[in-house]
Amino acid sequence: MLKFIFRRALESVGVLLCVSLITFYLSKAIPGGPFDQEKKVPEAVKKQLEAYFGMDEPDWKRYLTYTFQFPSLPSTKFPNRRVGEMIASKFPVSLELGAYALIVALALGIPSGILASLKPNTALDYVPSSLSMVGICLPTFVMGPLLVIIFAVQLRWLNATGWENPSDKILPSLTLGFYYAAYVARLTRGGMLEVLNQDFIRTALSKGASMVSVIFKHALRGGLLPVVSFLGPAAAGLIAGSFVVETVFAIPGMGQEFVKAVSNRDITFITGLVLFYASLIIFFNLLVDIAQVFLNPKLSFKD
Amino acid sequence: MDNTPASPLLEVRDLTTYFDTRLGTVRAVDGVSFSLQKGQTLGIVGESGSGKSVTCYSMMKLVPMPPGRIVRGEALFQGRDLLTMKDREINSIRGRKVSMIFQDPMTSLNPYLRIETQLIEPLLIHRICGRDEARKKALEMMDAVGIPDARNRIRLHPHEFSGGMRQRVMIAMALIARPDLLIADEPTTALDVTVQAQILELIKAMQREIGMAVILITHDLGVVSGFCDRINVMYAGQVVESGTADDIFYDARHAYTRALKKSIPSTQEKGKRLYTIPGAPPRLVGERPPCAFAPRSDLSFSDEEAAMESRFVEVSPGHWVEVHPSTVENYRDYLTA
Repeated sequence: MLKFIFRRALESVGVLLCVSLITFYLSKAIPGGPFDQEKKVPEAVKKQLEAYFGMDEPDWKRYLTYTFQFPSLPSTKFPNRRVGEMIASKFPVSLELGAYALIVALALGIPSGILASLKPNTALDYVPSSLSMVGICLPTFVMGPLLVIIFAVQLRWLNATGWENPSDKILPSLTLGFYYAAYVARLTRGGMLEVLNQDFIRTALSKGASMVSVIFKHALRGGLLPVVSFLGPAAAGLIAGSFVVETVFAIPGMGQEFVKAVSNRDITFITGLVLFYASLIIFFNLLVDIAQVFLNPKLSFKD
Repeated sequence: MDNTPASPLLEVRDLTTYFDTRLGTVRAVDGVSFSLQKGQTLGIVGESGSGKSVTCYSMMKLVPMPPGRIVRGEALFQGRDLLTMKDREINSIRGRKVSMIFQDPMTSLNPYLRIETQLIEPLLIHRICGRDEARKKALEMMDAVGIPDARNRIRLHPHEFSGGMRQRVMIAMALIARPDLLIADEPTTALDVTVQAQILELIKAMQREIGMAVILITHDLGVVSGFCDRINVMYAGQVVESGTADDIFYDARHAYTRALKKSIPSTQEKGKRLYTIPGAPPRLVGERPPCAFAPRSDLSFSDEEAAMESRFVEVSPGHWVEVHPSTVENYRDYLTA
């Protein structure tokens, strides 16, 4: 397993280099720069600023700096903020929100997916399946305000925005989690349906196993494999923070920073954050691959 | 059949199972009756789709419902009707009193669980013994079914076994709780020819040891010869001929049984084209014809005769045949007798 992780880590370095290279040239290609304002900035001032931030250096030098020293680089827009510090202060918030949302997604998605798979094409299937279709179709910018109207404006149980009280965390986690719960439910249903129709389920029944034991001991492991593969990118996406949910609920997370960095043409922030996100995604995919090997005995770390 | 001394282990009466499909209701099993004594071996023979497997799955309530539906009938096992049992009751029978092995050992074992977990499961489900003793019994059972190096192999997963070895595991698993009845649903169909004989021999040896009754489902008449005490020949969801192995092999009356016998490759002359029964098995949807085999019969009969109702007649003690102008020669002799 260590060998497997080591090899994957080596592969990841290549991936990260590609990602950073593409990001660097893409952000260079966006019209405008970090120093543009409503009024035209005098050419001499701009030159001076660019020199201060090292933007007059040749591309290869800039690329290397942005890629390998990104945590210590200052924002090109707000020179007193550094990329690494920003991540350190904002990431825990996004991590917390993402973790809650992930719990919501699994706690809602897996049971309703299992339920739907037991009696396909009956009310027991249609109700959770249609609900999860709604979850997938309703964008978070509709779902969020909807929950705010119900629970904050009408019922006055919770705050509409903020991230201070523990109760503030309920609505954003639900909003973000419900969307992923919908996917998890559909994947669970599909996976379970496929497994439940296999011959070995009949074998288990013929041994006298109860339905509960058949579901949890014999079917769930195979049935959850699609969910596990989905969880890699999903967890990264959840934890990296959702810009929409953070904006709707005014949460000081990383998703907002990312969008702001792009609109500010803040090239050090952009490349830094992309690298950070990319590492997260690679890390979670690695976790998923390891989990797959433990879940599916046909896989091994050798190949 | 009434002169049997003890009550039979299993008595199936008028078992009828339908499947509701988009094309209509399929009469998969259509009034099947038979009985089985303790320790006896019954072969159920017929083409694919003749209702052999569904008969047994219905008895064990393993037919997916819906679309399946048991319309009527009873299956008395040790005097209790399996068909009206609650889930809890039938679960206490399955795997303990009645075990099953299936056609395809490649898909019938759970790929995610170790052999050991699956082997000892019947013992744990039915609380026959604790985990440690179950493990010991599992090792003994693996030895008994001829899996070498059981101690190490028991830790493996099914995909690390060959087809024949997996079927041995299935047999070990089915017999670990020492059932009274083993239902073997085409246990050799998915295996190599050389392995087929070994598996049958193994089932027979285990039967001698445990003394259980066996129902062997197969489409290969050659397999049941010399293996079974009694044979039921099924066609279109019905038993069309039933008798001892000798009755079926030396005194077959039904045109379908005769045709099946003619189709066994080893009984045919070398170099000649293999015999096949003309036509295809009937669709089991829509109105029930007087005799399902009539369109494929090689006997000659008039339209008027074809419209006659068929009857199930005992031609000699314990030898029953579906009598119809299209199924037996000189059908009138049977009707007067």
